[in-house]
Amino acid sequence: MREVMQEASTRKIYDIQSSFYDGTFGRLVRRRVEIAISHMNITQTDRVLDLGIGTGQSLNFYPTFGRIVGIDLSSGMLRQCSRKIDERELSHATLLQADAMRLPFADDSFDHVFISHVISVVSDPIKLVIEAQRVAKPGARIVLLNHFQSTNRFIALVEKWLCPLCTKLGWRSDLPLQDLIRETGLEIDYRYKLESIDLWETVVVRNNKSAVNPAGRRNIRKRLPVLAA
Amino acid sequence: MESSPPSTVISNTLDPDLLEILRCPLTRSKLRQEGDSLIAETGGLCYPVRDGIPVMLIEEAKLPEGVESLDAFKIKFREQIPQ
Repeated sequence: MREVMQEASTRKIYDIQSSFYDGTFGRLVRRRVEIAISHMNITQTDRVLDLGIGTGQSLNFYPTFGRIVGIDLSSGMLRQCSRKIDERELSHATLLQADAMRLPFADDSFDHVFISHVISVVSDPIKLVIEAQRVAKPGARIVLLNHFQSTNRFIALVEKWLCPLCTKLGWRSDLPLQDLIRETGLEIDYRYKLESIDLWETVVVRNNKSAVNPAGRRNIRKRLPVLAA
Repeated sequence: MESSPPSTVISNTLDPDLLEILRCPLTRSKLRQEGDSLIAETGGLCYPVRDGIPVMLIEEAKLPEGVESLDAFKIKFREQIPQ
């Protein structure tokens, strides 16, 4: 119930923000997004899931080939995004309104999953990552662009203090990456920040399905025999 | 009113490649398109396509006939709902 309430309020916040997002918060993330996508090496036949595509800023940086599937919870964000797709005639991009924690896709559907600034805004980040792992093909790249709680104690303290404010704005800062790794069995390929004091980080993960942490969530454990069959 | 512009019709027809991987978010069953609706093979939850964008949210899905609420649906099809 709490989950539903948080998703509903997040949806509302983003519906409101969608009108001015590109000029404010959006500008800050553009460079990170551009670099992260350029590292994906998308090929002609690849399917890419952009999980939480928002107003579609990432569309500036995808190649004109491959198939881009963008999802978002907010219909306001998707309207903006849809306009961009029409204006630029990006026939290789498709949009769906969907919940990142309950993805409407078959297992092993995507070659790349891009999760940009989404992990901190959902009520259950672990569930989101497990869903991303499910719909990504074995060996696919999952790119997480996010703010994770700092390992520097002082910065972590400031972040903790800012947390209630950030939650109101639609994103949280209290998520340690280590927790996410432990719970989901994520195997990190590499991670980087654009600058040393950058609070945001890009984490690139290889979808190693056989290495899924058996101590992880219940649905993963149930899923293992299916994968082995 | 059958005077809707042809462009609307085209944009609402889902790309077969997408339909191939698209699933009901609750039962994970395949979907078939009927006009502006995507209907799940299992259970028959019916997802609308609005302005060419499929709305794949279970709260927005139309329930099959004879099922009164989403909770009732979940109980009725619990064997088919993964997790």
